[in-house]
Amino acid sequence: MSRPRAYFFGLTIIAAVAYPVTFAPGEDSFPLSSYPMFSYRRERPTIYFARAIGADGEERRVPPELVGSSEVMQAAVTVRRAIQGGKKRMRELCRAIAGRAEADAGLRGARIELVSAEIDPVAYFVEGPEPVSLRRHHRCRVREGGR
Amino acid sequence: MKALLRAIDRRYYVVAPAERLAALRILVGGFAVVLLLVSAPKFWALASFSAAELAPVGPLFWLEAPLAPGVVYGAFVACVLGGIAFTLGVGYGVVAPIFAALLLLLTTYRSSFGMKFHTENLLVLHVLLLAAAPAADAWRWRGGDAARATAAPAPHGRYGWALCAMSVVTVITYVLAGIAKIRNGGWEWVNGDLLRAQIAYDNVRKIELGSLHSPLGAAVVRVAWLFPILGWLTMAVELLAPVALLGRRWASGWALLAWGFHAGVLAVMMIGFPYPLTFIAYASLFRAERLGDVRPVRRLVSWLFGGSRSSAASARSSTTAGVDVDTAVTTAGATAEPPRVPSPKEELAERED
Repeated sequence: MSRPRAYFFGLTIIAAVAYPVTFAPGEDSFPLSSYPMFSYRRERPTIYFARAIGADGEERRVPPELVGSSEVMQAAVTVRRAIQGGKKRMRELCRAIAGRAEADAGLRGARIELVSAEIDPVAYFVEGPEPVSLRRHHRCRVREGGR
Repeated sequence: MKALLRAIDRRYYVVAPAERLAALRILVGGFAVVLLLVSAPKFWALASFSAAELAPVGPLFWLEAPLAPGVVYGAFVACVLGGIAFTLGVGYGVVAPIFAALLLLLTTYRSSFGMKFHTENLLVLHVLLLAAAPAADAWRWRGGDAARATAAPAPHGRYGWALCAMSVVTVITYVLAGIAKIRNGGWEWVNGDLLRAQIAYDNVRKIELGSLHSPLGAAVVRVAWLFPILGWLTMAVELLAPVALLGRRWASGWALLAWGFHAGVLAVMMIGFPYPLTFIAYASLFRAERLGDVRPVRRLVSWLFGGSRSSAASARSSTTAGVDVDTAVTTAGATAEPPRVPSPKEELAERED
């Protein structure tokens, strides 16, 4: 590659990588990023998740794979979007989770709940794992029979 | 002004051996292939995401519906094969841009479903830069035919600019992360409260979402006095990253600190950034071709690339004003033609290209 091309290509990439410094707070992209992870103040964040309540009343967390992704964050986003998307979206997701849960003998007959919880992260470890508040948005049941 | 431009030119279009750029190609390309294979189930699962989950980003901003499963599977297989050819330097002029484009497409697509994978940005940017550089002029696989192997070309600026650009890009990503912390969290970030809350939040989230969390992180959150120290250290690693460009000693110090930062993140948050954790992300700051001096690597290089290596076992003579001049030695140990440093006339011709 000639020198002018080397300058053009290299400096274009360098300028593009630096460009996200102009992003508004909260704005992000890929592969150009402002790398906002870990940067926000998190007083009492709300987390969205799915949980299973067994016939005996015991509560279990639904693993991300049953939500539809092995990535924990992607699963959380899926639950959040369903909750924010309204009843139809919640019903669809709940049914999808319940369908996948049928393969798990321990979850058959359990109640799946889509939940949002407001938490104080530091207090969670220092004082105890009780959420500040918790809200159930939708529930459905895993079939007893399984596959 | 001319003196300034010349100084910049010496730093950017720095004369470097072809093996250094080739070593980066092998390290970065090899890492990309391993990452793709290890994450294959996750890339494969992209084919099953629904339209409701699609939130396209970056170069895929125009996407209105998920890609057909066949396209995802095909792109993945092509990307792995392209990555192997890229790493070996086979058909580089054609293969490298295709591999870079496929990797960009696949990783962007993976980040287009609600979560951006910040672990992959730097890798993709480095591959893009390597794909535009003549990174297969040395240590190129020649189908196992050692007789076809030729001596590596002389050190030249065409082998140095991509290394410089890769290093600058690496540094910028860290500075951006530091700026984001100051912009979004304020200078309070350095007193440690935000960092403490971040570590706590990340672990709570994982516990509540049914994923693996870090017991060490959960324990560390209870030690409040530790966080101002960690906050300052984090900001120093990120905002002072440009010192890595001042020279190899600075680069060594900074890269070790940055590696420690990622090791810490892994320990207390169970978030692994494999690219920097393997140190490959920082390889452009160093004389990566010297890895070829390590006996097992030397054997592997010799087996894969025949006699095309010349300076892996070389005696380095000097480093002057950012210009490295290496004396080449053949695999067998006999001194080969010393690599030519381009004459001013050649440099001028290059400039007029």
